[in-house]
Amino acid sequence: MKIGRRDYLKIASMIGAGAVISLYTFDIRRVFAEVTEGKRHVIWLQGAGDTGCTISLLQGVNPDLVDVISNFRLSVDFHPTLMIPAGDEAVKALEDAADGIQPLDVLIIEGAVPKGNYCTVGEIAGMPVPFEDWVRVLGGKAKHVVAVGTCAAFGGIPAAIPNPTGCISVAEALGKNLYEVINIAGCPPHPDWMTLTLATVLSGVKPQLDTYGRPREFFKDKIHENCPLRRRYEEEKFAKYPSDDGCLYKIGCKGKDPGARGDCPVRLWNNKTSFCTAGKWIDKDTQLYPAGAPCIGCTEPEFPEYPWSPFYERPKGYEKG
Amino acid sequence: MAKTTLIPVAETVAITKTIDPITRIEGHLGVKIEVKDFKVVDAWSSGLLWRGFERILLGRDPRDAPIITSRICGVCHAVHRITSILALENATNMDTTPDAIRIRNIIQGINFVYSHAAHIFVLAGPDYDLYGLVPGLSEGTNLDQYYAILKEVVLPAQRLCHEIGAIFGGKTPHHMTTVPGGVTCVPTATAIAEALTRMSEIKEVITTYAPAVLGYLQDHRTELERFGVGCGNFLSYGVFPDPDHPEDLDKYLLKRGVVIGGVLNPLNVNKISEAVKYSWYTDDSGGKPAEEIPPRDYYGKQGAYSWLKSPRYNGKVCEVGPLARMVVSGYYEPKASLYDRLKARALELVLVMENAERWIRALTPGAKVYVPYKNPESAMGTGLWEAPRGANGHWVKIKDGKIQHYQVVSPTNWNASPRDELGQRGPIEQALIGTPIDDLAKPTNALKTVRSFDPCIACAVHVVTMNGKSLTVESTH
Repeated sequence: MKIGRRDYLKIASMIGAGAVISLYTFDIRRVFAEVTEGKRHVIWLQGAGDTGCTISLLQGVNPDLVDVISNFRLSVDFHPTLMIPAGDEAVKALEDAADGIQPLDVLIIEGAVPKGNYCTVGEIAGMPVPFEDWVRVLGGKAKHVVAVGTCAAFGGIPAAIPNPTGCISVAEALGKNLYEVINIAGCPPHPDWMTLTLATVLSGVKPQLDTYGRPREFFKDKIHENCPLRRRYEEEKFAKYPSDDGCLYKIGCKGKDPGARGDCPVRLWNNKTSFCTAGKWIDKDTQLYPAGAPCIGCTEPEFPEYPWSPFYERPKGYEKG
Repeated sequence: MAKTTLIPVAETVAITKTIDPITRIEGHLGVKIEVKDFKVVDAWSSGLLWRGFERILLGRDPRDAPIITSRICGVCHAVHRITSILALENATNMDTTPDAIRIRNIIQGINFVYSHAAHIFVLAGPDYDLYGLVPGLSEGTNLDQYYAILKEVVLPAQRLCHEIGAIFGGKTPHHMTTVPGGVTCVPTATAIAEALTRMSEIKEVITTYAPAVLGYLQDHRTELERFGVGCGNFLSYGVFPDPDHPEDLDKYLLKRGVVIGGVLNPLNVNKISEAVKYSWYTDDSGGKPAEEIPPRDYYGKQGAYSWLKSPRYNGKVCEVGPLARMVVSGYYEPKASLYDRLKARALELVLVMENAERWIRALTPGAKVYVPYKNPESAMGTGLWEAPRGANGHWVKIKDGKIQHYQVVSPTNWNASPRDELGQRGPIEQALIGTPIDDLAKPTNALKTVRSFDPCIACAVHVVTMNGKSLTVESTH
């Protein structure tokens, strides 16, 4: 049966991500399954990253999507570590896409793009092929390019000063502006961000993006705006040391200023358990929130540099609330 | 690489590939083997990605090192952060509180449980037909069976582990709450109760399947002891201190020490040194971790074949990982093979799981979990800790309150190391030698040997035949 093009992020903005997944389970399943069935062609490449994005994707909790997402991860035409075929045969999937023999609907990149032989994927005629060459060739062929995680989206930690391996973002590697690539930022990104964005893109729709190419639905607000510790800020009750009860502003939290964006405080992580600054549970006896870790701005283009680091200091120019 | 030889190899890999999604996660280890008379006669292990973390850390606020180094690995996502914190606390010669240590132990412990379970059931499992053990599933894995166990057992169990990590860590992967001086999260009665509920579900899964795995190993002991022996030396930094006696190395759950030639000795960290003769770095990039210069890359160096260096203990090649920890702790006899590595991992999984529950129960709501830490002006520190796959060390030097020097020696550095200046092969290289390869197109035994070390990186096996033809098996761990 035919599945319509659908912007799941737009629907999520009206009814919430959880409701989208339960309401459209069937359609979302179909969209991922069509990749498995070979009706849509996806290539997933890994560069300079740590695979945290992939591990995070597995923390998505909707049981109705477990098998299709697992299947999807195995069935993409090329995944450097998941791919079903071996060696040259796998490289052939890349070559076919590069040569236009196979169409390429979506190119997914996880990890930053280092220079030359710092990262190679596969071999052609016995010669290792630099990851960056694949990104450029395939990026030019794909209908949509999705950068998964802050490394792919903006360079992230591998591109931190002095950038020993010359890492750049996917957008830069393709000579594009950030908003021309779908950048699912985060170190790692929340599984919902990945699942719903991929479902939208696979159904043929480019979601609405912000100026940095992040899906707008998830990155509208600054962390501080929805933070459970915001009340402490209003009360001017500040933590002086880690583990103190209070707003984490003075021990370096970047949720208000410069104001990292993300819906972590409302979405929460790991089956709605917690997120960096605060957990779900206000303890009746102690009135304490678990967690208490300042936001480090991991969804932002400059991360891990200024103004997001030093992580436990107020950055210069942002000393006062 | 010769295309003609690829078809049968692809078949082999198709089997493992299809049934191995969780652990096929990192893409950067290659192993080349040479086969003669149906046996591996030589092996070369290569790391194929370099990111230069040691250079990135220079000049930064020392407190940022745990956050940055945690991104070395998104799979062992607790270990580098905690090791880095230990290095900073060592530099300032400070201790933290018992409940802070408990919370670190819990976060690290559930990372062990998830990682070992994923290895046994998802990674190694398919090689050994372990799916035949699952009630209701018959021998001979097919995709449906695989997804059944994935959906009903493995993914929910690993997700519960990550949820406990998030309760005390803020979120996972890359928990956020451990800091030099302690942790940021004060235990609450609610958090403890929520964690214990999840722990009991995890225990139910593990106690259901652990006896089956151990039984399987017993039944197949003879064939599994045939190969994968390796260097026979074991090294462990130790992990999981007793929260009330953190200084007492004898009270660590898994001890610190080194077993060379069957003899246990205390570990002297100054005897660790890294060789770079066969690594893509300038020859002056090696040495003792506390003194090494930031690595200068030299891709294409004559004879070099890896981005990994070769750590050695007093010049000796040492294996690290669950087996090394169990041997050093005196819980296991000092011998190695596929059988021993699998069994030690299963035993350690149960041991750590039970203790993780104990640490959660011992937390006191509202307890003090932080002691003020201040960056020193000038100091040196060493952090020694264990990842699920082995000994992890960080060395830091601080000057004018900033990082002046940083060195990481990760577990896969030890196990997957290339040859050293004496020509001694690394542990995986040694373990591969003698591995029977009945069918050159299906070097399954070689893959089993490499996987038994649970390298936290993917591996590709390049088989070189004596007549010069070569073929490639990309597979991962």
